[in-house]
Parts: sequence; structure tokens; C-alpha cells
Amino acid sequence: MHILVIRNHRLGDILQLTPMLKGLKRKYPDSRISFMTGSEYGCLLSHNRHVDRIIRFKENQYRHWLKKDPSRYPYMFNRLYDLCADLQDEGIDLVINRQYEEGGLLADILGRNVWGGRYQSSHGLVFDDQRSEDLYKVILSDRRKNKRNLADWSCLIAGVSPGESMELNISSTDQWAADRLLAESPAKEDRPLIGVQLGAAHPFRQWGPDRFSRVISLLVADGNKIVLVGTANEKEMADKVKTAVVKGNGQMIDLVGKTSIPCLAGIMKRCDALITGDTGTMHVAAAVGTPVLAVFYGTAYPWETGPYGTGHVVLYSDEPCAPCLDPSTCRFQHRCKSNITPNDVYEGFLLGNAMRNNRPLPAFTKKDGVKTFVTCVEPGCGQSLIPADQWTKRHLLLPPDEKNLSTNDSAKSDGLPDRATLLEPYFRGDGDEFFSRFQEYLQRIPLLCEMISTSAPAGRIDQTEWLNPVLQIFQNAVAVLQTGDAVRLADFIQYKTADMENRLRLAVKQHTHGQEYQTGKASIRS
Amino acid sequence: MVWILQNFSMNREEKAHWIMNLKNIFTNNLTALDNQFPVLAQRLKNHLVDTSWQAFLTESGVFSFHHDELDGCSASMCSRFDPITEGKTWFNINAAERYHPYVVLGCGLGYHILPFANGRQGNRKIAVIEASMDLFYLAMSVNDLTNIFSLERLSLFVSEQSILESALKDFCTSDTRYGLFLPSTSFNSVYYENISALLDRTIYECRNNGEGDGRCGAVKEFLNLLGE
Repeated sequence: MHILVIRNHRLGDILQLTPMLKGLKRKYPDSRISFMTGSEYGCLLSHNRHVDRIIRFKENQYRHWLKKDPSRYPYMFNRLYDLCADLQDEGIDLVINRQYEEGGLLADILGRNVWGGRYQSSHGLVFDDQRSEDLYKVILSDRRKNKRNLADWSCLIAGVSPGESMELNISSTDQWAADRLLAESPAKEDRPLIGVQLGAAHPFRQWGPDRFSRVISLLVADGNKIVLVGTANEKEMADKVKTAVVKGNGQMIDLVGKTSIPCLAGIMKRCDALITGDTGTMHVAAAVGTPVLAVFYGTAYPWETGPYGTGHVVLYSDEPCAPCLDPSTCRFQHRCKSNITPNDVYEGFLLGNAMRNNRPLPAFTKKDGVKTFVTCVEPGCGQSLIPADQWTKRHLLLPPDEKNLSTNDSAKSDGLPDRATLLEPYFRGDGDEFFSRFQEYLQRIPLLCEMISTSAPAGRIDQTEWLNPVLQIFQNAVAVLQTGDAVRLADFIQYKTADMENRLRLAVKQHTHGQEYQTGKASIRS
Repeated sequence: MVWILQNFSMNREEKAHWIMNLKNIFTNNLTALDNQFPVLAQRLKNHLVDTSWQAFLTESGVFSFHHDELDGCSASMCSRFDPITEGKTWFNINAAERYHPYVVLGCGLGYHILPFANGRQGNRKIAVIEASMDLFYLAMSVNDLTNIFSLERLSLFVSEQSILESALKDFCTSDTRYGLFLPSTSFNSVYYENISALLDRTIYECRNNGEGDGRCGAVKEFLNLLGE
């Protein structure tokens, strides 16, 4: 059985599909699951053991060309046509479409059996299954009637039991790179690490640097260390926060604009908690098992997109107009944002902390217009939001093994792509992609070497056993890259890189996974 | 053909054997080409190959060529280890088990063209476009292409940009596919960029005119939605 899942954009929405993927693989163990997504989000699923193939689709690039470059129209049209033709030739037994209109159109031409809605120009969105129609009607009529998380909706649409955990796996190299970023920061004291996501994709989803800086001041005064995360566009906001927090400035690590998605996941894994709005980072943290304190206002609606898992705290600004569709026309001066004060967030943080550590809950101020919820996922039922004052110990706390769920045995610990992936653009005739993919591959080698060197117990290993041959091959690789000769490079990948990879993988296994190191030479040669 | 072998340390007998072998291959290829494409065969007979091509034997015992570019870069025309496997892999990834008309951009030394001649390809329409007459000459010298030249529905264009536009318009249909053979296309990249843009436009027009299978309308609509 070949299943195609379509979701092209939004980091959080893609992660919210991972419980469904897990359920599908459990229900149909012999199925082959292909996931079509935007090319920049492929990394979210590249180590997901429930996805057999990722079809990367250059959505952002295409959007740009559609607006700016009409000469590319034939190219896009032909690529898309060929993609559809190839997928039709392969034969898709079931399409699960989690994207209205665009995805629906693809779903309509790709499969006879479509769950989640197909789009037909003559009829608009047409639903073959009742669940998808229910969800669509609720969203269209009144979102407040919906009390189910989108992750659970997806499970129901796919006909699998809701309540599985989200999954995001990263390689040990990415984790190591994240650890290095944290270690390089001047804040060296051993304190609890709290992540703060300042910005959001849209300005109306941003809570504002002033409010965040007041929360951060309170957290730092309590003896916490703060790590600021976000995209390069949020640099200005981070600078404002750093200026505003005068006392304890040294306890702040600024990683805004410095992390890739896998690296961000690595940072989140190391955090003791994350404070954020309704953002992709929130879902990343929830997926790697880090507790979240999420602030919801404006268009955000926690029942739909709240952090998925047990034990996350959600502050919701419950105005009669919320969740709104167009905050730009707000007649109430964005009261929903100002309802939630820095003190509320701080109290919410203390509440979450006490719950997780099984301590008596602190008293928190009840306010009109602001509700505090704790998330709870029950297998078979999905996620519910429990008002904080009704929370009792009978509700499961964040299971301690949730972090372990996000580690994947099948994920390659070094994160090096295999030879077929490296050579694929060469055989497709795309020289630029081929060279840039190999450059990315090469950039990982020194990172891996450094990781192994720092992880190995001092004096227990003769690093020249593996390091020198690897460096020799690495230098050759750089020389081949500089010739600009695609054939030499292809030959190099095909016939010369295996030795380097074997040595590296062996060294990673021996020194970073805590396995007993046997007398160097014999094991490396074996 | 002797110059191809001048760089090799072979004894006299071995060299004579190779010379005879290569001469036979070239002559047979030329005869087959003359039957199908007499004008091209005549051009090939009059062509003088640039002597800066460096020949070498690959590890699998067949020939490959290498060329130093003026900008300091270099270009190999196929794998230095196993060009035959490389050609088969290219074919399997790009063109195998498809019955669409196919345009091969870059003839190279022909190793990736050979699988088109196997019986399972049926009566498929194939066009091979090569920018460099030098390369085509070398391909004729090292590979037995007689089976390829005997294909009934083969079109062959070697460094003929002027007639390509109209020829490709005749050739292309909405289900035409094309593939670039990177070693040859990187050697003459601007030429192939133009040709691939021309192919994109031509196939697009075919599809845009409603010729096809109903996918065109959906794809157009998809792009409209994406652009909004």
C-alpha cells in the first residue's frame, strides 16, 4: 500500500502530523509512506522512521518565481506536470491531504482515494470522508466550537487512534553542534536553561520585546539561564531585550539567527523549558519533549494548535472576539495581547515548574480574560486542555520517557547523507545542486572529527589511528571539489568516501556512544 | 586514431591491436551513420579533432577522455572507473522503463546512450543533442554505436543550433521528457542551458494547448493558487 501525505508548509503543522504518521505505520506496517513537503522542511522528517520517502517541493522558490519571474513559468509547469505524471505512474493507493486548495488540487489529480479533501475547480473543496468535512465546517463556521488539537484531527482523518507523541529526531552531529553553540556562550554557570522565542512569523503574533524582557529579568533573578532563539529577522528584537535586561545580562545566550532547524531542535532538547507564543519553535520543543509555556492571543487558538503533549502550560487571552481572523482591523487596540502581563507568564512558568517537579502548586492570580491551562494527552482520546485550577495529580505529568521517544534508533547518528543521495543530482544533470550538496557534506566532516575528539576520554585513544586517514581523504575531497570536474567528484563519492565514512562511523560509535573501546588498532581495522 | 594511444605505455603488439580495434569501431559506426544521417557523416569525415583531448583507459578497460579548460577548470567526459555502469545508472534514473519521447542532452562518449538500443525500448522516439563535434567524433571512435544509429525513430543533432528550434518543435509532444548528461553538459553549459530552456518552452506550449491527459488544467490552477 502506497500512502502519500501532503503538507507543504509551516514547521508546526508538519510536526503536528507526526503522531498520525506513527499511527499509520502501526496500522499498516507494510505500507510505504511518501511525504510531500516544502524543500526547507524535509529535515524535519529526514530521520523519521515512519516516513519512507520525502518528496521535496520547492514551494517558496516557486512562489517567488510566480510573482517575479514569468520566464520560469514553463519550467515550473513542466516540473510539476512531470512530478504528477511520475506519481500517477507509481500508483498511489491513498492520499492524505492536510492542506486545503493547493494540496487538494494535487490530491485530486494523484489519487482516487483521497482523505482530507480534494479541490476541483468546478466544485471547490470536496470531501470524500466525513471527518475532514466536520473539521472544515467547524473551522469555517466557528473555531471556538473546536476543542480538538489538529494533531488529533489528522489522526482521526487518517483513521488511526489519536494520542501518539510527536516525533522529531536529529543526528548526534546536529546535537553536538547545538551543544557547542551553548558551550561557546559566556554564560558558564550551571543553572536551569530556559529558552525564549521572541518573535513569530507575523508581527501580530509577537508579544513584544518589552514584555519579554520583564519576564526574562524575573527568571534571571530566580537563578535561571536564558537562551534567546529565533530567525535572523528577529535580531533587532533580541538586541532590544538584551539592552532592557540590565541585571543578569551575563546569563543570556543570544542564538537568534544562528541556528538551523535541526540545531534549534538540539538547543530545545537541552532547555529545561521554553517560553514562546504560537510558533514553530513551540512545536519543535514539544516534539523533543521539552516543557513549554505558550502564550496564546489574537489569531492563535490553543485547542487547535497548542503544544502537543502532557504537562505544557498555556496562557490564553479569552476575549469574545478571539480567535480572530484579521488582527490588522482590531477595534480593541489588541487588548488580547496586553491582557497577558509579564507577571502572568512568570506565574505560569512557576506553575509548570512545580507540576513537573511534583511540588505543591503555587498560588496564581486569577484574572478576567486570561485563562491558564495545562495540556494532557491520553492515548486513544487525544489532547485536552485542563484549567490549571482543576488540575490534580490524577492527570498524568509529563512522562519522563517522552524525551526518549524522540530518539530514533534507525536515525544515522552522524547525519551524513548516503552516497545515493549525494549522487542523485549528478545523475539528474543538476551540477549546481550536486556541488552544493557535496559542500554541505564536507562541512560536516570537520564537525564530526571535532565531536569525536572532544567526546573521547583524554589519553585513552590514539587519534592518529582514525584522524589522519580521514584528514587525508578530506583534503583530497577539497582538491577534487576545487577542480570543478563533476565526473571526478562523482567518482570520488562513489569509490573513495566509503573508507572515510567507515572510520568516522566507527569512531563515533566508540567514543560518543559510551561503548567500550577495545585496543585501538584491531577494532578500527576490523 | 593513433594519437589516442600515444600516451599509453604499451608494447608494439598491444598498440597495433588497439589501433585495429578502434579503426574498426570507427569505420563501422561511420557506415551506419552514413545510412541514416549522410550529411552528418560527411561533416564528421571532414572534421579535425582538437589534439588537446587526453585519453586514458579506465579501470573497467574502456576509454575515457579529459579536457583542460581555459579557466583552469577541467572536464572529464565520463567516469574514470566504470563509465559503462555510470551510463546505465544515468539511464535507469532518467529514462528507463518510460515510453515517453526522450531528448538526451549531451552525447558524451555515448556510454549512457547505449541502453536506449536494448529491445525493451520498443519504437520510442529519441533525440540526441550534442554541442561538440569533437566529442561526437571521440564517441564514434571508442563505442560501438551501430545499434543506436539503426534505431528507426532516432534524431541526431550535433552542434546545429540553427535548425534545432524548428526540429524540436516537430519532435516534442506534451509527454516528452529530457535529461542532461552532466559531464558533457558542464563542458558546454551555455549551449545546453539554451536548449533546455527551449525544450521547456516547447513542451510547455504543447501542454498549454490542451494536448495531454487532463493534468495540465490542474497544474495551471495549482500554480495560480500558489501565486496568490
